[in-house]
Amino acid sequence: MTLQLQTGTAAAAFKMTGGIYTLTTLELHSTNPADITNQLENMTRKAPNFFQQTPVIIAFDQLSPEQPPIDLYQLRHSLQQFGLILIAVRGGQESHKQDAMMAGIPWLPSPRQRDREEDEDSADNVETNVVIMQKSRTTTSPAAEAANQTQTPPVIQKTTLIEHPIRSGQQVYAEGDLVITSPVSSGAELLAGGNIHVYGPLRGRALAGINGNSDARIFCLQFEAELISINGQYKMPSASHNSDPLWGSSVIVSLEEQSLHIKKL
Amino acid sequence: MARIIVVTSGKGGVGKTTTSSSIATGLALKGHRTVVIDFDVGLRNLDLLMGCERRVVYDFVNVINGEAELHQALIRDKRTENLSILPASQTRDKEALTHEGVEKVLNQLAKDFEYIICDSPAGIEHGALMALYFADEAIITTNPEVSSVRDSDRILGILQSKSRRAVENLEPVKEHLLVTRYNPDRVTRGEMLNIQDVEEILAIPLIGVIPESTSVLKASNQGVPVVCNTESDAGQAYNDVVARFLGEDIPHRFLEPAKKGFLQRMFGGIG
Repeated sequence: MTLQLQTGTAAAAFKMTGGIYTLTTLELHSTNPADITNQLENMTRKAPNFFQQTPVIIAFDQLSPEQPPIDLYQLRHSLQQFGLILIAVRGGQESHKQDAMMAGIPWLPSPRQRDREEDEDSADNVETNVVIMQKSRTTTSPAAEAANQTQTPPVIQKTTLIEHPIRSGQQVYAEGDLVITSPVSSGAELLAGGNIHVYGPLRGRALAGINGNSDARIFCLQFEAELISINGQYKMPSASHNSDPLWGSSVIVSLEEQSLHIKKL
Repeated sequence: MARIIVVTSGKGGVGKTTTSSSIATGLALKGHRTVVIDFDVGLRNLDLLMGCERRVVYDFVNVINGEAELHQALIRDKRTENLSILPASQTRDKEALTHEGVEKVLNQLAKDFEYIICDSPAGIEHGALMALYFADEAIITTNPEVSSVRDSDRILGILQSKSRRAVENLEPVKEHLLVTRYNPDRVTRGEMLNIQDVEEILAIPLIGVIPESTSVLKASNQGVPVVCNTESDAGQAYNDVVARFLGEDIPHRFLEPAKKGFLQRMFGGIG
């Protein structure tokens, strides 16, 4: 999943994007520099080049508060000797956060703190995919993290509900789910980042999961669509509707193994 | 407060001008002060159907441009009291219809008339948009065939998104479906959509069904709205539409193939 922010003019010098990266995390159980160096030495002896240029995150979550404070500059230096590049620190006490700030290292909240924040968020109907986005944000690289900080807070993908008929020539776009309780005429077009529900005849085009969501589905009570598409995979059912036993019935359309499956509801 | 009613369809040749002339005349015959405006600038027809083509001196565009006063351009119908016609210009194009100009004329007309019927040109371009923009109600004229139904669907979408009531978030335009040139025999033979199909696709209330009739062509050639011909089926059907528009509850007629007469049945049976 990527998150893009358009920077306005066509001649922009860069494009801001976000992404998910798998990163090595060192969970500290001790702040003794000698202990840490010893373990690093043991680890790298077997495969000296394995850790070259590896970005790491230092996690303070599991550290007991009684442990003496740690010198982040020194830690960064010793990691560097073994090829590891410290890119961020995670969790810990308020002092750890301040240290990180002083050393110019990004600080990330610990997963447990994050869950708590999310629980509060989901109280106001935040959709699951938004939660995933927030999770991914906290594991992104420092560059992406910095980029995210300059963005406005993540857009909440609300469900769009439309109760009037969608006529020929009309186009409806919803970032999240799209729910329509009226007929969708032929020549009309529905576009949604999430699922599409039509509680009535679907005679036009329906394109779900247009931002790369293969899990999106299309539901309708009367299937007479001109075109259905999930994440770019499309089918034009009306071309062969005379032989289609599902024509006119309630169906669910899903994307499985790169092909569209239409099932009776 | 005057009601502004647009007669529109998207597709051409389905019977918008026939409908405009008959509904305007029908409303006037019932005693309502009515004006019918031709929005088809450049291809004016309404004056022909109303039989007043020789009396056009000034037109709608002249009034918009301030070249004539409204009362100079308005033509009083000779047959029907309470009815006036505002003809279109034949020498201009649709761009002559400006927002402000149309609004000014409609506001002026609203002082003197109860019903303002706007006869829309075909298409979904500027002329049609101007005709429907200020509407309170819309009569969607549709022939029972797929291309006409799709175009009507399109124009309904435009009414719901681009009319003044949609733009200003007011109560939506009241929509009426009028099916014209309906031929029950051809429906039985499967050559035409039936009323239920059209109603189901467009999903708006049906105000009437006008049967295909030779009296319609005759009426437009004579310049007498078909509603005046109370002998004809189309004339009676338009009368029903006007009555329904004014709130009467009248069953729909002319939906079934005409019953054959006694002799036809006799000879049809033998043959």
